[in-house]
Amino acid sequence: MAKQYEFRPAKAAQRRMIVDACRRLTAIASLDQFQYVGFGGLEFIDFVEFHRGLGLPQMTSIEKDSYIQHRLEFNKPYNSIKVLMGEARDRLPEVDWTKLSISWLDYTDVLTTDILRDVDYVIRSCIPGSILIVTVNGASTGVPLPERLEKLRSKLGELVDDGLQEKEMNGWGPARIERKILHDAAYSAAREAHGLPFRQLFNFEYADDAKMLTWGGIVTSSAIDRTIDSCRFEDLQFVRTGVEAFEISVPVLTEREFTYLEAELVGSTGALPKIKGVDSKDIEAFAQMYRWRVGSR
Amino acid sequence: MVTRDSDTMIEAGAEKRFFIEMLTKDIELLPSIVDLVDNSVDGARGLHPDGDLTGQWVRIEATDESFTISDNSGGITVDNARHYAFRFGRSKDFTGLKRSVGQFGVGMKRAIFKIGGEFELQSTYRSRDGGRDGSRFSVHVDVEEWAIQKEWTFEFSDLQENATLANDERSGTTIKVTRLHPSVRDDLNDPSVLQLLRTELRLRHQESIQSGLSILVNGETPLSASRPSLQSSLILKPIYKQIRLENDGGVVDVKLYAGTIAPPKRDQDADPEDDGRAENFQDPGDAGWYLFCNDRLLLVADRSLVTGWGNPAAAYHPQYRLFRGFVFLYADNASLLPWNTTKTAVDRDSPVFRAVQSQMKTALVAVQAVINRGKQVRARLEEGEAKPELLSALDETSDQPISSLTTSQFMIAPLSPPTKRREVLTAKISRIQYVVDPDRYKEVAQALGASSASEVGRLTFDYFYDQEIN
Repeated sequence: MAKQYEFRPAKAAQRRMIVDACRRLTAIASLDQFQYVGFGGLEFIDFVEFHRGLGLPQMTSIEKDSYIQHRLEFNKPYNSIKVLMGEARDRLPEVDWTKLSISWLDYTDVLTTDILRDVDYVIRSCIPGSILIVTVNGASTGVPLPERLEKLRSKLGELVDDGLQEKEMNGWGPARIERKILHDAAYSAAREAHGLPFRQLFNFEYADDAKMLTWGGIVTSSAIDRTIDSCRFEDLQFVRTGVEAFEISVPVLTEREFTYLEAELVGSTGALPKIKGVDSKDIEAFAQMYRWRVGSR
Repeated sequence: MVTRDSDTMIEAGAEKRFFIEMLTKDIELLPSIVDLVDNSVDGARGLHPDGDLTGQWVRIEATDESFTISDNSGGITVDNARHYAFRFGRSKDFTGLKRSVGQFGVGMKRAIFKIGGEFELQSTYRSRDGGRDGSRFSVHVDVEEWAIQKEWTFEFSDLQENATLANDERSGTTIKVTRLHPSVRDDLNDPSVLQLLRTELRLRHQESIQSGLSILVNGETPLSASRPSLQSSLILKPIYKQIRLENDGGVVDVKLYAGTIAPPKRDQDADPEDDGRAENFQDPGDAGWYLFCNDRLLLVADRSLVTGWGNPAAAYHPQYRLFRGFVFLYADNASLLPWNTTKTAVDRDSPVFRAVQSQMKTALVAVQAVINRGKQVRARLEEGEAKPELLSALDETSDQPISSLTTSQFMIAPLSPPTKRREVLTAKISRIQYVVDPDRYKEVAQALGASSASEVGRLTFDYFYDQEIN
């Protein structure tokens, strides 16, 4: 279990990137004013990361599998973590949404209307300045190409654009459709509840195993919008406010290669370093994510 | 260059007949009568800024020949009658009443046109200080004749200004409509239509009735109104939020209540499994959202997408039949409130409504979540097991009038009991249910010595298993 980080390196890097972005929330309120809401599972990896990275004292984990309740209580790394058993939609209303929040709805399934309802609920309930992140399965792994569009439609009904073609369902196609649906739902829920549309900050694509989409951003209002500008999220190279995703891929390199590349990269303004026999694509990928690579320190 | 000469002028005036028809086309009889009552309520509230309407009354009398509404709401000033009350549409310089229900300046005229072909309005106005500047007037109009006239005017008859009113003289308004349209006469003669009217008035003006206003329809017994209530105790507490929305035009104060009501007796005895069986679906009745603007009810038992059913909350299902939500919007400047002109629904494009709608949606999700938990706990409950606190709270907590509630951002309810280990096993059971002739059932029960249907079921199954399988 302890090796989980290394088994899912892209996810681990992504977690660090999001924590890094959340540091900038200090412009809105001191970080200990924020609470973390997540689906901690048995390992609570994100809880540890968010607590160590940001010092958030108040954390809530929602777990649907009620048969592991005792193990959850045993495994939770901090006694103060509140564990709520049940479906997210039934337990989310028990979170104290009058506090600023960073919520990560980390699903393993593809996007469904149930997930959209949770997203809608969190966006409406949380106060402006709060962060919402959603992870869903990219809906393509293990499903033959001709069946992907149908699968998506069965989960999302009329939310899936009529004009879509099966051939658009290759690679990251389904994940991009999911992003658009999430974005549109968040846009209007936030506008209705807070007067301004949701501001997207995250649009990650990664594939430790299945193709996954992590999308998210910040809830704003006219009172706080300028303050959010001053967080300068866009300065972070992995922040994506539009359709284009930031793809996290962790190249398979040796520790010695990593160390060499890192030494060459930092502060260099010229061309990317090279290693004979290593694909330049891998070096590019490394340059994109080395600061958040888990295991580098 | 354009000159204002008759060659370049294009007629764009309104034909009165067309106007009358358009005005009355989209409103039904009952809402138009409720609209007339709105005016009386506004008048009464104007007399009592403290909101206590005790002693105020509105009387409706319908006969074969006429429809009459009268009140003691203070009457109309001559100035108001001259310049505002009879105009179609509200004039820009009409300052209006604070917290009024009347909003568009069409209700009274539209209702009159809807009901009949001739009307007389009499008003007696008493000045606030009881001095000599009271007034009496009446206006008598034959709608057919008026429709032919070119001028958009009515005429006073019996105009008395600067009158002194006797101490016991009623100050108020009476509108009598005669030459009833045939369909209206039929409706007003139909007891069930009158009953509907009573229900509608009871509902739409429940807050004013609660505040002491008497509304009488063809009789001497004032309508009673139900008092909105929700289950509330120390352990089960509904959501009650107070929100202030500030807008360019002013302030809208919002009170939002959402929770559950106590189950009626028959529900407590019912098999909770009935939830999933369509043939046993109970009438949703009054479940849903109620939205009031300045105490006038606009949405009644709403269970549509507009109030969150279906998204983000679950769509209506009988398991939510005990849900009730009440939203009260108040604004001194009534134009900020989301009325549609017939006051039968909300204006969904109103920014005020959007903000409120969002609060309603999340509140609905929160209450549904408690109901869902209750259902899950009930499903896990085994025969003979004591009722967990959550269930006894939901089943036994009595309703309290919402006016007695204290604010709560959440719905407070007891926790679900932890899932027990053995449920892993009991979760893998099959349930059999079948219908038999009651006489034969009795015989079998007697033969088995069983006292309940479930016992009969188990014993007969065991019998078959022992005989045929083992």
